Amino acid sequence: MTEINEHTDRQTPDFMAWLQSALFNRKAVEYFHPLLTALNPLSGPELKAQVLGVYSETNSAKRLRLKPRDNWNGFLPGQYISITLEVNGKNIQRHYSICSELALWENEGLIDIAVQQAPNGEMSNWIAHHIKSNAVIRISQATGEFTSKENATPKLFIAGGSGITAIFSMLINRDSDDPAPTVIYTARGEGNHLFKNQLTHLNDTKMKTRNNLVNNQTNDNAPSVILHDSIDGRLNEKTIREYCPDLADRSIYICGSHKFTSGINQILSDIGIEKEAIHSEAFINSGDLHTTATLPSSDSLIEFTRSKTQIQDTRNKTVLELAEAAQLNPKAGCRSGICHQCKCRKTSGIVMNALTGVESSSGMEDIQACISFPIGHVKIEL
Amino acid sequence: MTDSLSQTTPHPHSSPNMPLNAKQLEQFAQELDALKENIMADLGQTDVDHIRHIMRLSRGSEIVGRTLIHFSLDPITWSLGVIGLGVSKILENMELGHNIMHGQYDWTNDPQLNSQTYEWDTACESDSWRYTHNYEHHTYTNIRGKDRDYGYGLLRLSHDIPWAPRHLAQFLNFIGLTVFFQWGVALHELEIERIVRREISLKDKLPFLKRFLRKGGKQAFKDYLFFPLLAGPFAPKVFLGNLAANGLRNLWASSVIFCGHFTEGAQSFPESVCENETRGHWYYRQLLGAGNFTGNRWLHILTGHLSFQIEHHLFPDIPAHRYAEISPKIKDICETYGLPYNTGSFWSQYKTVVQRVLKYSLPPTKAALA
Ligand code: FES
Repeated sequence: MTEINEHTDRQTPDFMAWLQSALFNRKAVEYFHPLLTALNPLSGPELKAQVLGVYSETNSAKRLRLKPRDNWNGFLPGQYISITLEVNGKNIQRHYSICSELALWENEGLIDIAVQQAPNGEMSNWIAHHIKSNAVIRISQATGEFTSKENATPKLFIAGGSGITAIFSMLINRDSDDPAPTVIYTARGEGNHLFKNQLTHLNDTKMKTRNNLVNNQTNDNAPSVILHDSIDGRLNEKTIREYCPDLADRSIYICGSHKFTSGINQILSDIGIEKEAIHSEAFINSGDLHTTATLPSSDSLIEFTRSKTQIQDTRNKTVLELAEAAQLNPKAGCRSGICHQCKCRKTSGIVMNALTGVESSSGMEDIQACISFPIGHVKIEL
Repeated sequence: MTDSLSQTTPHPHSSPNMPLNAKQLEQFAQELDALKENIMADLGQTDVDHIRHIMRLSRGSEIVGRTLIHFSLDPITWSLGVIGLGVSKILENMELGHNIMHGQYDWTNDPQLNSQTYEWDTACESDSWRYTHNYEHHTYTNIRGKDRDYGYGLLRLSHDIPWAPRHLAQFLNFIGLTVFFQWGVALHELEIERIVRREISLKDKLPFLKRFLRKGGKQAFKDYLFFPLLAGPFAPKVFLGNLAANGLRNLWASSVIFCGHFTEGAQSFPESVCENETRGHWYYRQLLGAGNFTGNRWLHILTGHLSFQIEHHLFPDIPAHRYAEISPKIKDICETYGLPYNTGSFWSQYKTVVQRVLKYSLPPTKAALA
């Protein structure tokens, strides 16, 4: 069934909007944009930031210092921004947590993000090798619900890999009278713990009475940080209990890859920790890795974000067929990859091209629904 | 000549005079697929730079063209303005609009190069175009009764369509289609021929007509009301200038497209071929239904690279400026499989279009029936 009568019949009451579309077939700014950016790359209506510096955080991680333009609204610790770069002609977008102090933003209008380099990560590798100071990149406003909720209960933070960035932000920006938090941070291999120096300083403060991050006299509130190396074994109930004996009395914040957060959530629910005490955020692009492994059906899930519906077990069905099964009336034509009528936006996850067998990257991009098989957890803007 | 009155085909997968067997057809498809994959893997910055360059050129030349028309006091300045605006519209419709809407730049994820949201500078609404052209025409290319671009419901281009006295005047239709091309394209989805045959009613088409009026109205407002009135007492001069620029584009676009599909060598197919059609046969049909013409780089750009109609029909979503580099490889493949590769100069191709339109305005002779 081809759906072509889905044309929007909304009348725009705004005369100026109508006039622009009559004269330019688009917004006037969009019409003039290619001409103006040729003259000044910072111009245009999008949110942009200038890269002020690129620093190595570990062997495989960079910290970028950014100066967003005036139209950027600031952030809450724990939130992330999306970054859009044109890499060899292709716009790619990834999300990165802000990992700098609020004061840096408030006083100097600057923010930092940390980028963990992934083996096949298009964006992270580009950043590692090509981004230079003064480059102009497109960013989004800060978003995300993973922020410090209330302060009375002591917190336990559990971070996996680059999941530390959001948690690091909460740590360095926490209120001075917050009860002492515990941080369990697992990464793979020596020297791969991001912010190791800063974190050990947070840790040291417990023993030394020198803490310029938390302005407390008693230092009772200084965090204890445990750097766990997953080569020594994954986190399990026993290690977590060892690291944090009073975990039942804490509110718990988990951040890491999808696999990591769901694993930890499972452990905690087995222990009997209540859901309300747990806040977790899974990384949409856990290091933009490609997964070639065929996942079991229980793990396959497609989410249609605009209509807020989802379907489990997506095996052997194209995104188009799944959207039709969810009765979303998706647009389609040839159903064989010729006409591009079925094009839609994938916000995250991997799809396989049925004609070429090639797997996509995990970030946001436009796909042809009729020839895309979802792999694992995929989000589609429909 | 493959036009035959017999529509019975031995097998739904095959076409009249199919020279390849199923296995060869599959190999043929594999070679073309491999060619496509190579190019797709090679896409990058140069392709985006090219299309953005054309975008700046088209917009720049529109601004210059309209300014010259507006301020011109002599026919030369005015004419230069008309050419500027006309060239801008040609570049916008052919190299930008047509190609972007085919999804040739969807891989860039750039919202300004997005096939599904791009709106072009012509009376035809983009959504209508995407349906009638990208889907209907490119999927069912030159299948009689399925590809409504084949003759645009106005022209009889083969004896498979029964002759009627009205076809005697089809050369006039041909001229009309050339002159009013943008409006013909805009009204394509109306399916006038089916309304005439009472297969559908005008009422079924009301939603389309609404969309048509909204987009066509905007274009008419811009070229024939807004910019003329901006010139106050000189309104008629601007009105005529815009009319001429649109006319220039109509003449060019229609001629390019006629040369792509209506030449002597371009074949048509019976509806039966689309049942369970293999990819190889689809490629075969695309190859036979199209025709190229030769020229230099700028001629190709001005045609939106539809001068490489064959390559375009084989690979509608490869960025069109790449067709030139694919073309010799396609020729080689055609030679290997003994398939025709229909090409010639613009004028020689156009001549066969005119001859064909004239030839089929007459009923079949005894010889053709035999
Ligand atoms: S429906 Fe035609 S490309 Fe997907």
